[in-house]
Formats: sequence, structure tokens, C-alpha cells
Amino acid sequence: MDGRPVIPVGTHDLACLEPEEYAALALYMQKTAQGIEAALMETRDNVNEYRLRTSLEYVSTVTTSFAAGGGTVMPDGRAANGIDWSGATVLGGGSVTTATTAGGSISFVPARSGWYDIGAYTNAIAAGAVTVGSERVLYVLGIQTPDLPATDSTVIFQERVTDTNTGGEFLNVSGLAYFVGGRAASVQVLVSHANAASNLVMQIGSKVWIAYYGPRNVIVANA
Amino acid sequence: MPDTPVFAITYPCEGSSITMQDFYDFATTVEAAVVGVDALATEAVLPPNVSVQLSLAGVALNVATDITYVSEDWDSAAIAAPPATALTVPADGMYFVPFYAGVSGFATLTSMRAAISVNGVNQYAFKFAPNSGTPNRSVPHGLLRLAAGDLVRCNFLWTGTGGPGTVTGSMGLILHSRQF
Repeated sequence: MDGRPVIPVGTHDLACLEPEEYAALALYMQKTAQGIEAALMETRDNVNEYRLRTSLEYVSTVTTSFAAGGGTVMPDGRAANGIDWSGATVLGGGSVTTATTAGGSISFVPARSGWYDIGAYTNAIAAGAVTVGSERVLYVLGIQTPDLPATDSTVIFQERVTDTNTGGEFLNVSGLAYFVGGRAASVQVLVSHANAASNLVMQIGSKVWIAYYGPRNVIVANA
Repeated sequence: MPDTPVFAITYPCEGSSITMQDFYDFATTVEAAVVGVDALATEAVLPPNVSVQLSLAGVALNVATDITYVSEDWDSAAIAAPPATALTVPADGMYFVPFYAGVSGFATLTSMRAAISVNGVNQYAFKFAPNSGTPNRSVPHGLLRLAAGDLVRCNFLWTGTGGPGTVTGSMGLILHSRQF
């Protein structure tokens, strides 16, 4: 400390004075206070990696009707078919540095490598007649490669059900996927159905989320 | 006396005479800073969470009914107080809410629906018409943005004949992130 003799203490660059250095005590206490603060800030930042795990969630605010076949993207571009997904629960910073729905996908650059919980939920009710035994499917597709592809192509989670009622079909799918930090990634959620007799209507409150779960070595031992 | 900018650790000015009060202030502010970080670490390592066991007899046909939980495990933040229907969110954040439910005591079962509600509004649900076997089903989890004091419940609705039914199952509330 300023050329004065000190005795190192611990592993956080803290030190104490030699007994004869009383005159430097005030400065020593200042340096120690700053050293303790720096150590605590580092600890706090590490702790906040888990306390403030970045979560990104879209929640629909209006209903949308879609016909049988193909696939309807959730969340879709708002101008394309009128679906409005609230941004109120989009949580920025942390691992998701950007998130857009351009082209129907959620594009983002995770700041941290690790496992991400990806999921979606919707309640899709037939607007009219029901095709008995027709299926409803909720897909989550994700991709991340060094050469970003033009479209998402890999189904990573899926729920497929058949239905014969008019009271709505609740679809909920989720799972963990690994993303490399700093590399562009995209996730697309599709919902489709085979209810030829009428459209299905996705209800308000449908959800899509991406939530940082933790680094690889927390999930996979000895990886 | 000056403080450090983030944790407000108090230290004496250079050149001033050092008293016992300076040491006291230094030590107590360091202690307060460490206690504050300890609380964050505890929340990260042991986030508020609870698992409760649902059980309610007398569930009438075709009436969405809030299901009572009768016992709890791992409650780290006074989230549950059995017997009751509501879990009380302890702090703002993003939470996972896993649940499953099933029904017995019916003559015939046409359909069953279980839902997780927040302040009375359904957020996640499943519904199915069981063909055979034990009529219950799980939902892996739902991610919900919840505020301190929000009330989370599981409600159940069944159609068919007979009854009233008895609903059993489980429900959890686990803090995922304090980002809000």
C-alpha cells in the first residue's frame, strides 16, 4: 500500500499494516473499505447471475383466428395478421441482448453460454364446427449455428393432441436447450391444427418464453 | 466521514485522528454490506419455493372449483398456509408453476380441466377426455411474471355423471428470476 509495509490477508487483495504504521491508518481503512467493496461487488455480480436470470416472455393481448393446415407462428409479426404480443414482460439485459419477432422468429444473441428453458402455451378454441378427432400441434423450433440459416428448421419440442370438443384445447410445451453465448440464435414457435370444419382461435394470454437456466457445468457434471 | 459508493462502507479521512468510533463505524458498515450480499446469495441458492398437495372432496359437476391444498413441503418464504386454496407470491419475479390434478368419485367422466389462476384469472390449463385408466395429467410448468402478494390457485372443472368428485394433485411455486 503506497510503498508502506503491509501484510497480505486472504485472497481478495486485502492487507493489514505493520504495527509501526499507525500514521497510515486512515488511508489503510479507506483502501480496505474499497477493497472490501470491490470483493463484495464481484460476489454480488456472481450471485446475480442466478438471482436475475434473464427471462423473455411474450404474452398475447388479442385473439387470433387461423385455418387448418400449415402453421401459425407465435408470436407472429403484429402487422401480418393482427396478433398483438405485449412487450410488457420482455425482460432485457443479461443473456438476451436483442429480441425481435421479424420473420416470425424470436432472434436473440445470448450473452452467456448455457441452458435455456424454452416454452409456449396457448388455448385454441374452435370458432365453429369441430372435426372429430382432429389434431392440434404446438412446435418449438430452434437453431443456432456459426452460419445463421435463413429459416428455423429443427423441431426441439412438440406437443400433439387430438380433440373432439368445442371447449378449447390447451397446448403447453417446454424444455431445455443449449445456446452458445455471443452467437446469434433464433427460436420459432408454431401452432397448427387439422380442424377442417372451422378455424381455431388462439385466446388472449397465449405465451412464449425463453429463460436462462444456468451454465452447462451446473446441469452436466464433468462436462 | 466518507463512504464507499456502492455498499456505503464508512472510513475515516486521511490525516484525521482515529477513534474507537471510526473502527465501530467501519466494522458495522462492513457487516451490513456482507449481510446484504449474504441475503442475495441465500436467495440465489435457495430461491423462494414451495410444493403443496391438493385434496378436496365434494367438487360438483361442471363448476370450476378452487382446490384446497392440505399440506406443504419446502416452503422457504411463507408462501403456503394449509389448509387454503391460495399460494401467496413472496416477491416480484418470474416463477415456474408446475402442477398436476386428477379426479375420482364419478360415475362417468366426459372431460376434466385443471387450471392455474393468478388473482382469479386462468393462466395455464390442461383439458382432456380420458378414455381409460386413472384420469389425471401433469403440466411440466408454466413461467409467470408475478408480483408480491399475487394469489396463485389451482381450479378444477369436470363433466360427466355421478359425483361429487374428489380432486387430488399437487402444485408448486418456484422463483426463477428476480428480474421483473
